[in-house]
Amino acid sequence: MRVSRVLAMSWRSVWSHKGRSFLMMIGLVVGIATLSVILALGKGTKGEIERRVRVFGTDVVMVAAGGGKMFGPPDERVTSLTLEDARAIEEEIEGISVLAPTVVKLAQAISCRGYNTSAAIFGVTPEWEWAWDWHAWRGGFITEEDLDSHSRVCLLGQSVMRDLSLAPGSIGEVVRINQVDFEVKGILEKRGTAPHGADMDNRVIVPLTTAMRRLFNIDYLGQIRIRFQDPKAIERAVPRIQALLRERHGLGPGIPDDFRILTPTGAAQMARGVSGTITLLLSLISAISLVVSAMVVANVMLISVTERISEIGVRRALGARKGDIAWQFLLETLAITVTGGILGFVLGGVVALGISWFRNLPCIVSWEPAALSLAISVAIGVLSGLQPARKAAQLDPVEALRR
Amino acid sequence: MMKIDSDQAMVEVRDLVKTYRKAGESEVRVLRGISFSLQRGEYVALMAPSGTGKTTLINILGCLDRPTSGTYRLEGIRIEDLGDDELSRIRNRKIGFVFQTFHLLPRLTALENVELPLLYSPEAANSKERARECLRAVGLGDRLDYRPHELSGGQQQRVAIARAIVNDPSLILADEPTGNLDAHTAEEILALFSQLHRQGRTIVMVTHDQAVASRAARTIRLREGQIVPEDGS
Repeated sequence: MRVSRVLAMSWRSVWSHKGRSFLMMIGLVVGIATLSVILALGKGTKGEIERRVRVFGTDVVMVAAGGGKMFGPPDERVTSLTLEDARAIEEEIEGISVLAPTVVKLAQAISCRGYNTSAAIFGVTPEWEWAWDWHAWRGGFITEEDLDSHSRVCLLGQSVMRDLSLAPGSIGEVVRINQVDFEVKGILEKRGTAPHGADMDNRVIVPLTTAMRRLFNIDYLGQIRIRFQDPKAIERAVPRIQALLRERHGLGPGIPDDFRILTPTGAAQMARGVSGTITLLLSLISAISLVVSAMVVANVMLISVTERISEIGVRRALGARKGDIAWQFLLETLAITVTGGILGFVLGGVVALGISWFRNLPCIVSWEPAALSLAISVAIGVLSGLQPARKAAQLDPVEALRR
Repeated sequence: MMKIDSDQAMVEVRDLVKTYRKAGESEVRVLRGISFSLQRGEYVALMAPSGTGKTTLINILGCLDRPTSGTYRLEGIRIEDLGDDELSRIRNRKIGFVFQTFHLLPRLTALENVELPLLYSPEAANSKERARECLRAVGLGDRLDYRPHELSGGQQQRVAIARAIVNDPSLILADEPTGNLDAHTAEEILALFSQLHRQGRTIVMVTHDQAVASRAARTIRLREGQIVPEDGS
């Protein structure tokens, strides 16, 4: 029997039992759709992780005030990280190219000409520009003179600029931070989202000395960003920095760190953690749907064999061999599962794009999930179609015709 | 292998025995040594009361079933020596079945039903055209795309007859083909069989109706699994 004929016949049978075929497909559609979503979001997440690590910097270590494992901003209540710590690290640790001690205060009120917003204030030194490779987009960066004279100048992140309705050319404009007037010296380049998901452009940077003396009246740092000449030096440097700071902070054995050391590896894990639980849940749903669908398809096909005993008898009488009957039922099963797989993949693609649109998650729809969906559909079709096909082929034509 | 000798009998049956053994019961001998032969172009009525093995005999003649013992040659081919796939092939090329209950596939059109045997014979060319011709030959050239439920009983049986001749079989086996039809329609179907006979086809028609049997040139009577000696006609 010609293959194209059998295929056409199988497809016809699927189409003429639309309702039944659809019910058989549901599980498979859901399973494959879920799988496609996982893969699309997973692939997107991988790209996002790489992007975030690049944002963090591949050759960078950050020391932040306050212990714990969270990746977010420094703990502002912890006052033990100091400028002297920063100097000690710079002197004792090898391979450092640039080091930027920084004061961090989150959610500070900022206003300008009746516009109000809230942003993080960073007190920085000129080294900060190189430690972050983050430059002035308009205007100029903070200088040693600004630092020495505690001058009230600032650079605005682009989100702050937008929220205060300022134009990129608003150099020399005066903004009010914490009841103190600052002159806008520049606008920072756009940076995007941090590994922990924060908007890095919602910030204002001021001279470190101004932040410590005039703005907040503090003598401690929020974080120290350390850039290495060679990223390979990071692994070796991290335990040394930890030991140095523990010693300087007088932390005895058994007392936890009162600081955190963040590395690019940590940044990647952070980004991965967000999608990990969702992926696990979806994988479970997908696996269950696929197993259930395989059983449903197998059962419905077995029932269909019983319903169509007379048809099988007629076909046998007209000259169909056992193999022809087996192929017919196997291909009918495959027609159903492959159609279900294609529908599932399309549905999954739409859902993945929808999720990434509404939840602002990255997603990449590519050919691998399509190939995998097809492979799974075929596998389920063969697995659940073999037994019905064998049963149909083994029917005694004399018995079958008697029905 | 399938050498056809025109002098040789179309069907040659010798000492055919068929026994069934049901679980826990004694053996049932359905056919008890049947011998007869049919020449090419013969139209034979097989008469038997129900339950006397006529369907079993038809199934064996149609290569759907095998005898317990005895021999069956169809155009010289020893059927009992063949495997399942070869029997399927014989059914496909040499046998045309017509059933009492028509046995059309309900979801296929008349044309597709008639085409069905050709689907199982890869070398058959122009199967659509062949099927169309056969439907025209049984007077249904205007019903090609009707489904069985849209046709009357008589029309359905015509479709079934078209299906039985589409592969140009050596032997047409009709099992009570008029059993489900009213007298008028039955007459039309019988006329169709007579026409096929005139065209030179070999036909075996099972019936329990003397009037139906009288349409055939020869009658074989079966009683209790054996052939009743013919009355010399």
